[in-house]
Amino acid sequence: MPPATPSERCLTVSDLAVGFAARGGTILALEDISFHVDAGETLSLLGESGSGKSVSAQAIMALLPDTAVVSSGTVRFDGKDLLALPRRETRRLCGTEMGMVFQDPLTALNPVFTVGDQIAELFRVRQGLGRRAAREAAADVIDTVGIPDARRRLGNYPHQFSGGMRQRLVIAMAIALKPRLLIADEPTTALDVTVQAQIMDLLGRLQREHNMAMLLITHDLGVVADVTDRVAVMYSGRIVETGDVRRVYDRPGHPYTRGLLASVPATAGGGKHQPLATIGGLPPNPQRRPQGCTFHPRCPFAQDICRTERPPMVDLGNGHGATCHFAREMVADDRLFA
Amino acid sequence: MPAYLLGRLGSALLVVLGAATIVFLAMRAIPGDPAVVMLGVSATPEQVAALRADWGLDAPLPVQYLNFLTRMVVLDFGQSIRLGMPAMQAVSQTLPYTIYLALVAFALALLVGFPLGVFSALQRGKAADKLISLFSLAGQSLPSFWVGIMLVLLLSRTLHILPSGGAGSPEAVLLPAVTLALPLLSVIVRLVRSGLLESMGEPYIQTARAKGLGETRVVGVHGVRNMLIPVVTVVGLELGTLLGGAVIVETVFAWPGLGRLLIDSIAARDYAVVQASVVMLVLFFVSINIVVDLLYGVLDPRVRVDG
Ligand SMILES: Nc1ncnc2c1ncn2[C@@H]1O[C@H](COP(=O)(O)OP(=O)(O)OP(=O)(O)O)[C@@H](O)[C@H]1O
Ligand SMILES: [Mg+2]
Repeated sequence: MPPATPSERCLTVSDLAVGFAARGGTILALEDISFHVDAGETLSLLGESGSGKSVSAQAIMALLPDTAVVSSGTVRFDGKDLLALPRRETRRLCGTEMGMVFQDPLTALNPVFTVGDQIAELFRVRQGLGRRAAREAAADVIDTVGIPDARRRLGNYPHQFSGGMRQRLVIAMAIALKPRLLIADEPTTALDVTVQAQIMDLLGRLQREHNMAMLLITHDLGVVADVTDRVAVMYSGRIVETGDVRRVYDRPGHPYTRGLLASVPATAGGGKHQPLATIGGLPPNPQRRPQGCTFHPRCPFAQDICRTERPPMVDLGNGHGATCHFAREMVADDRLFA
Repeated sequence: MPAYLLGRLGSALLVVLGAATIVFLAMRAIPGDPAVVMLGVSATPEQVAALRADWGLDAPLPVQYLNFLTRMVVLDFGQSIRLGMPAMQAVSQTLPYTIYLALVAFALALLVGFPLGVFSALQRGKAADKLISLFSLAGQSLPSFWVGIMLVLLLSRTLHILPSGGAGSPEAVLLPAVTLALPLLSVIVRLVRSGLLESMGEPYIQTARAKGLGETRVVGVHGVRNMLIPVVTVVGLELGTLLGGAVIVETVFAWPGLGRLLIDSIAARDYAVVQASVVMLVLFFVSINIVVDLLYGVLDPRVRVDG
């Protein structure tokens, strides 16, 4: 894959840190978060529950709650720093330039409005279309996401659709105004196994058709392998490894990534839906992260230095990097990957 | 839908029948004979017996009861012994006053309570929110007769801004209406506040924001519309309480409504008017409940019966 030129760059997050006001000080939910997504490319944010994936997405879309404090960082999109803009300005880009798909389609749709109204609202409010035109446009979008008999179903309410169909509707809303960036936060987690692949196929097709940049949030290693170009692995509010998905999967530079991959049976792709928690121990409480490398209490390779010094992001070449003191050794050790 | 509505009407009829029975029995169970009340304690037993026979009170109770029920079907409750006119006529003369008072109070409670609740929710935790919460707590717990008397003392006796009672001038409705509205207004403030806070925490609000809608639209359309469901339900039920409250407020403010008629008629043991007033109040109450039920179906598509 040729390296992306800056002109294709869609979203660049640099040094992002987000905290939450809580009793007894702030909880640092994100620290040193940096990644970028190019047009037509998919970047996966991969990590256990609580690692900060959703907070990252919320920071980009100006959806953070009032208790959140962005203490540093920039989010560059369209030549602007979204974090420096007033929230109202960033919101104007939501829907039109950036779309978002949420985890739970059962609750992401407003139960008291017809799906036609909810999708047409985008065209009416954001684009100033008239009622009739907005309805036509809504029908077209519903058709695009593969809901049969679109025109008739405009008048239906969310509870009249199945989970998979509802997620198609959420996707329809996210892509209706043809955004350049699509953020999908665990879009298949709440769905039946049989529907998950269909939804991922739909997202992939829409991405190709619109040349969208996609930020895919997931804890499903199989999904990452199937549809992703690059991956950023998160652990306890930080990115511990990033790079092309093939490189990272073949030669992980971080013991955490290795642990994740080892927890999936050898038949990659067929090994979806495995729990990630076969690594011993639990992620640290964000209010009491360990000194040094935050992963060291769970790391089978931990040395003295890991307990005292925080590892830098080690450049492993070709955009591959890992925050481990022994990243080079990890990658070089052929015995580990026999 | 028609089957559901029929069932609803059926149970409403049972409620009316039950209330009619209770008021019929209660009036005859409490001490005090209407004939004695009318003639005074010096009347001879013969005079009392003659008057009772005149009013049909000498018939056995079951006969009286059946008479009452059969005539109730055509809204004939008999003659008022106190007013010398058909009981229904006394009711229909006073009922408009009560409806007017209740409507003004209801409008006041809605028009003030709703925005105050929304504002309170948006200001959650701030000083304004706390002040409003305190106010609504007081409004809910202070008894109406006390609030009414305080308002009269302050606005009529001391400041001479508003009349203290009667229905002689257009602005006379204000004090009783405010007094009557206060508890409902407070309930609405609390319901709207908590309902809006709850719906604002739902994921579909994030969806609305992710669509790039302005915060006014997110709150005003997506938040408020969902909050309406619990609010309408409770407000509908509270409307009945409003009618009940009218009885007290009308007495405090000498408002010539059904409530005052009812109190006066109970004192005079005017069976016909008491029965007529109560049955009419209950009829109102159950009608409102049916309307609220239907409204609930309009507001929440999930409970709407398909087809
Ligand atoms: N509103 C909030 N208030 C306080 N802390 C929060 C809030 N939202 C998230 N956090 C904290 O931020 C951290 C990251 O949460 P986040 O929701 O981003 O996790 P996640 O990676 O999306 O997990 P999951 O896979 O469960 O969705 C967690 O430690 C969480 O406790
Ligand atoms: Mg999440």
